[in-house]
Amino acid sequence: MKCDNYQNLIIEKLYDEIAPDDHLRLREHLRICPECAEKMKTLQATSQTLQKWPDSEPHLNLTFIPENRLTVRNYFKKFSFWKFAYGLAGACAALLLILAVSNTSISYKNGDFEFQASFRPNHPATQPLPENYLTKADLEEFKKDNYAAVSQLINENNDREKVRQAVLLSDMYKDFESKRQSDLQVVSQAFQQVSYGNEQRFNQTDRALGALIQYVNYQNAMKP
Amino acid sequence: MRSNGLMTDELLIEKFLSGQTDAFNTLVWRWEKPLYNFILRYLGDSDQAKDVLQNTFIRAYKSLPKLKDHSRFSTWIYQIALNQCHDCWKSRKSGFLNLSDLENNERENKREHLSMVDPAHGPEKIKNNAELADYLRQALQMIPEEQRVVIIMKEYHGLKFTEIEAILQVPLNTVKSRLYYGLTALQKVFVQWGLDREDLRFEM
Repeated sequence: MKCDNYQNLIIEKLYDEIAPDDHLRLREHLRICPECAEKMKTLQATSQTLQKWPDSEPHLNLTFIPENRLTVRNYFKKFSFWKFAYGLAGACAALLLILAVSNTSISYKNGDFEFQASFRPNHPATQPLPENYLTKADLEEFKKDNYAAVSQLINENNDREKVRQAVLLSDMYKDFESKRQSDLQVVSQAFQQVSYGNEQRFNQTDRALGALIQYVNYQNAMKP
Repeated sequence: MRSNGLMTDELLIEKFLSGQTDAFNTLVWRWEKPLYNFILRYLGDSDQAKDVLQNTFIRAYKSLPKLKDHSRFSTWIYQIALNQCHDCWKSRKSGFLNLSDLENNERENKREHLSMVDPAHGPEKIKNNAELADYLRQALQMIPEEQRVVIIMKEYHGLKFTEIEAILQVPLNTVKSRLYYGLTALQKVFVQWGLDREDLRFEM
């Protein structure tokens, strides 16, 4: 076997990572091969020389601090009720400010509410009033009229409902009465039929008894 | 897997992933020295080593959530450090210098004047370990990069052959042969410089 094949074994032996069988093989080879034995010694010496370089301290003082990136996950992780409440209040205040700055107005016109917003100043004195401009008093009066009309409608509706119920009850009474009359007639007819049947049967029985009595009398007369 | 009492690397990673940044700082505190020395021996320059170490941890901080097998942390962090070293090495080779490189070069030149090793003759007399370390630094820079990294991992970090195989992602036999030829190359440099002398080896 060539010495090249023992290179890896020499390295394995140098760092104590050699298998027992390989160790035996290498020991045998080194015994008979002075070149490889010398190589082994020089590599050991080189390794020992390298070990004279001691470790150094980096003196770097590296420290990592948490990232404060605003992500959805981080936001909900740090979510608190008061934070949310303050946020909501701030948003409302900002909205009101925007509405105030934009001269927002709401008016009632032709039965509909109208919303107007403008970033230009909206002074009543400088702008002409619309033809059917309504005041607050007009609105109050309209509200009263509306209320009276609605009340009247409700009362009329109640009256109509009462009449409708009375008519309905009367019709029901009439219907029940007619049915009762017809039922009584049926019962009366039934009674009549039953009594007629009974009378017929009584007459037949009388005739049969009379015939039987005659027959018995006849038999008695015929006896010696 | 390194551990400090009950706090293993895996446990620290889990804590970091659950939002405790201090757990990562513990990992930094635990790994900065070995990684710094790994990078320093690879690049041979302490200022560049500090920059690369910092970049390594920043990359690790960003990429740690993607690490699936937490038990592979040591392999993974060495791979990051190695990639950062490669990048630094490439920028150094490409000749593109930024301001910090210029400052480093100036400092390097001053040091070269003070302790330039004559390849023909070597140091007359090495006074202390720091001086020897400087020669070893220069010697490591003289061997091929792929051999140097294997020697550093094995000699100074005591990694197993299989661990080096996992970090470098090369066959096991390649790791061993690179180590063999790397040590042989270094030995030649040492002989040339007289660093293999018995008195030097055993008196220090």
